[in-house]
Amino acid sequence: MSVMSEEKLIEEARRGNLEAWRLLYEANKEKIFALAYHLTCNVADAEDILQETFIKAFHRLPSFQTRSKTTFSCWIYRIAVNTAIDFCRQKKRREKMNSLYRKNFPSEFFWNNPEPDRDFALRELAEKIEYFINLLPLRQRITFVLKHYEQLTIKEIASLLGCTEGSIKQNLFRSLQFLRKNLKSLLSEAEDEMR
Amino acid sequence: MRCAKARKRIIFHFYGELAAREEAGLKKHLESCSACQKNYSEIKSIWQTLQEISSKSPLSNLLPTLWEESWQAIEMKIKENQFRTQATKPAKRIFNPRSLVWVTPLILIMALASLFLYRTLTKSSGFSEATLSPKPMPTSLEEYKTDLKPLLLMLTNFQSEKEKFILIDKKYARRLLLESKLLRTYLWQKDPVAAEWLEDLEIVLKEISYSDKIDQVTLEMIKKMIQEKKVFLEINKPSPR
Repeated sequence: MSVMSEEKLIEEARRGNLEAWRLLYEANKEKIFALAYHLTCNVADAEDILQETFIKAFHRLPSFQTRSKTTFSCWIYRIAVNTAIDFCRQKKRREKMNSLYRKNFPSEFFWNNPEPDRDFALRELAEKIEYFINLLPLRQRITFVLKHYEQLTIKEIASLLGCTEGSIKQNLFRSLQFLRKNLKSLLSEAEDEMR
Repeated sequence: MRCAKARKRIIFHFYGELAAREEAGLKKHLESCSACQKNYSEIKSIWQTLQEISSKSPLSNLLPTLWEESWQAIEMKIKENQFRTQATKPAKRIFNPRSLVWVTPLILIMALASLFLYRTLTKSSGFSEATLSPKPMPTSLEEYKTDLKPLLLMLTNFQSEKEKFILIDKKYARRLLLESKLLRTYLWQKDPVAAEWLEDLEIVLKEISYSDKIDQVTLEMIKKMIQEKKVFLEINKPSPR
């Protein structure tokens, strides 16, 4: 999508044209879904975040300035991050209220694996890693996902979350230390299984 | 370099966030410290596993209908909000005799200015009026009735000798229900009779959309409701313009 056509689509969407908004949805849906999925480790939740993001963004379109330095995808990505943070907080609160803590490893991981043996072991390991990622405090989890899965630089993450680079580094360090501590034994077992 | 500092840098080394001098310092420290070497190999193994996992995209095996369903939900929600704001917007007072003296010349000037601006802008941008105007309402009452008819006909014509249940497309029924709600909000002021009919119809649709299979008892109840609410009589009427 060229810059011109994106600008025109935004203009049209501002006037209430949902076809234009759909084209913008098509261009950005996968990136936002992937972010939401990595943060929640759950397809249904990721779907909710995706929908919420595009509904919120549509109503906030008047505040988006096409001529500013921020591109549309950055702008909507920022909305998606904030929506995901709110969603995770609400979910945590709901879970606390209902005392429904997840004690089992999540069963939902949906790969299409052509190699059965090695991939089975890796898949099991991934589910466990996913479980521990879910245990990280929200700020650390977001930093980890943005760095590891979305491959943003520390500077970009800091500007996206509105914190200093130092605190992002600290969060990243703590999240990897936590994973190292919990996954040390699992990894050596998995290596033996994969051999 | 101290061990604590080296251990912090190990992580950023894998993410490629270290400067050349920091990289060199870390390398030098690792050569001489066995504890940090162990830490390095542990982090390396986690990092490699994470890389392998994240290279397998979660999007690869998604249900193909997910994107379409998500879009439909987004579209519905946006339209619902648009109708709601339209319906709740208070009617503006166009004519106020007190401010007539001040307002009339102001309106005239503004109208002329906006007409002038509109003409110059449409000429220069090259947009046609049709592309700039927002989309019209998607469903009229007539269109809605055409959509609704097959479902109601299927229910009323059902013969119970061969099969015990009717299988209902729940999504279709819910969509009809939602469309009816939206249409009702829109029609409330323009055509209150049609809006009231839609409200009655929603009771029938609600009953249909909450069950996958409709058994004999429910079917009889729905048929009775259709008769009571005179759904077919209304459906065959031409809608008022």
